[in-house]
Amino acid sequence: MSDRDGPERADELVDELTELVGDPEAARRALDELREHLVAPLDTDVTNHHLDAMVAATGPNTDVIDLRSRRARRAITGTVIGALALVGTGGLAAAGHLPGPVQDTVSRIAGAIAIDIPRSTPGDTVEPPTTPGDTAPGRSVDDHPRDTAPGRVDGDRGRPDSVPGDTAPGQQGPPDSVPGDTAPGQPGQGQGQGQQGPPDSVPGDTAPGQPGQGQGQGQGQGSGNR
Amino acid sequence: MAIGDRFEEVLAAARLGERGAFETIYRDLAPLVLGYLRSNRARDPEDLTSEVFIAVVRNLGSFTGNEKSFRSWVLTITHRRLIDDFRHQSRRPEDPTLPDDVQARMEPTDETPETEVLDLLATQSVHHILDSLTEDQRAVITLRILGDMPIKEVAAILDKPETAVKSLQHRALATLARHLEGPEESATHQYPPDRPGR
Repeated sequence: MSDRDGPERADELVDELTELVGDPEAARRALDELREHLVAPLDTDVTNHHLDAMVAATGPNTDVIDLRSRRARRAITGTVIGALALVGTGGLAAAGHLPGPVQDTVSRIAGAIAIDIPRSTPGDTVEPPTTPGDTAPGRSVDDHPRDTAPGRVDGDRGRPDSVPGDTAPGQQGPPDSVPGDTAPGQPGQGQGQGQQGPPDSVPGDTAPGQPGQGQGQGQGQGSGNR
Repeated sequence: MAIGDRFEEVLAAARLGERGAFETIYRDLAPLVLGYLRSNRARDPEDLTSEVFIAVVRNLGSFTGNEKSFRSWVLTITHRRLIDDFRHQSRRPEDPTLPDDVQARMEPTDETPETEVLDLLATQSVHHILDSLTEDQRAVITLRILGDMPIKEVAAILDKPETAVKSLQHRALATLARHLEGPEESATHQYPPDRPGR
C-alpha cells in the first residue's frame, strides 16, 4: 500500500493501532498480514473470462448475456401479460360478455372484493312467450317485458302462464282470462273491456281487489293483435 | 502496483475499447475489488467483480479525474454493487458453503501440507477477525487498508459523516487489537453488534 500514493494513510492506521496495542512493530505487522489476506489474486481463467465480458460489453454487439437483466425483462413481460389478461377479463366481465359459468365465477370473485360485476343472465336461455295476443302489432319479441335492466328481478319473467290477478296495472293480462269473471265491486270495468278479448278465453279467477283493470288491459292488447 | 504515469494513456485507450487497456486496469484494480467483495461477504464475489468491471468500462466516458480518483470511483461502484447484492441476498436463502478463498485453499496444490494448513489457519483467522466486526466497521477498515483511501473518501463512498467513519475505524482497530492480545481478550471484550444502516 505504501508504494501507492498514500504512505501517510498507512501510517495513520499503524499509529492508531499502535496506540491500542502499544507495540508499533506488532501493529504494522498485523495490518500487513490483514492486507495480504484481503487482496485477492485472480485465477488466469477468471481474468480472461472477465476481460472477454468487458470487451463484449463495449463492443459493437453489446448483447452481453446478463442474467439479472434477462430475469428482470421476463418478470416485466409476465407482469404486463398478466395485467392485460386481467384488464381484458375484467372488461368482458363488466360488459357481461363472458360465457355463463365464467361470468358467474368472475362475478363471485369480484363481489368478494366489493366490485359489482353482473352475473350471467339466466333469462337468456328462456324462451319468450309465444301466446297469441302477447305481442302487440309491430313489437318484436325483444320488446317483451323480460327485457329488464341487468340486476332487476322481474317477477313475471319466465312465467308466461301466470295467474290472473298477479298482473299489475298496465301489464299484459293473462291470455286465458275470462271476461266478466271479476270480483264484486268493479264489475262494469272488467266486463266492458273483457268483451274485446278472444272468444276462446275461459273464465278466470281474478283475485279480489283490482281484477278488472288488469284483466281488461291484457285482453285489449290481445284482441288488438288480431 | 499502480498504473502511474501511463494512466491517462491507458484510460484513453480503454475508452476506445482496447483490450490491452482493459487488462491493465483490471490487473491493477481487480484484486482490490475482489478482496473488498470477499471480505465484505458478497455471495459470489467473482461474478460481482465481473459486473463491477463491466459497469466501469461502460461508464468510462463519464469519468474525469486522475488515477487516485479513478480508484475511488471503481470502489464506489464496487460498494454499490455490494449493497445490491445484500438486497438480493436478503430475498434469497443463504448459501451455507464456505467462502470461495477458503474452499480454494482446501483444494490440492503444489504446497506442502504444513504450508497449506498454516495458510488456511491464517485465512480463517482473518475471517474470524472480520466476522467480529460489524458490516460498517468491515467496510471502513477494508476500504482504508485495501483502497488506501483517506477518511474523507471512505465517508463519501459509504455515504456517512467523516466523524462516523472515524468512530467506526477506531472501533474496528480496537477489535483487531484485542485479537492481537489474544483470543480470550477478544472473546470477552466484544462490542455489541450494531447493525449498519445500509
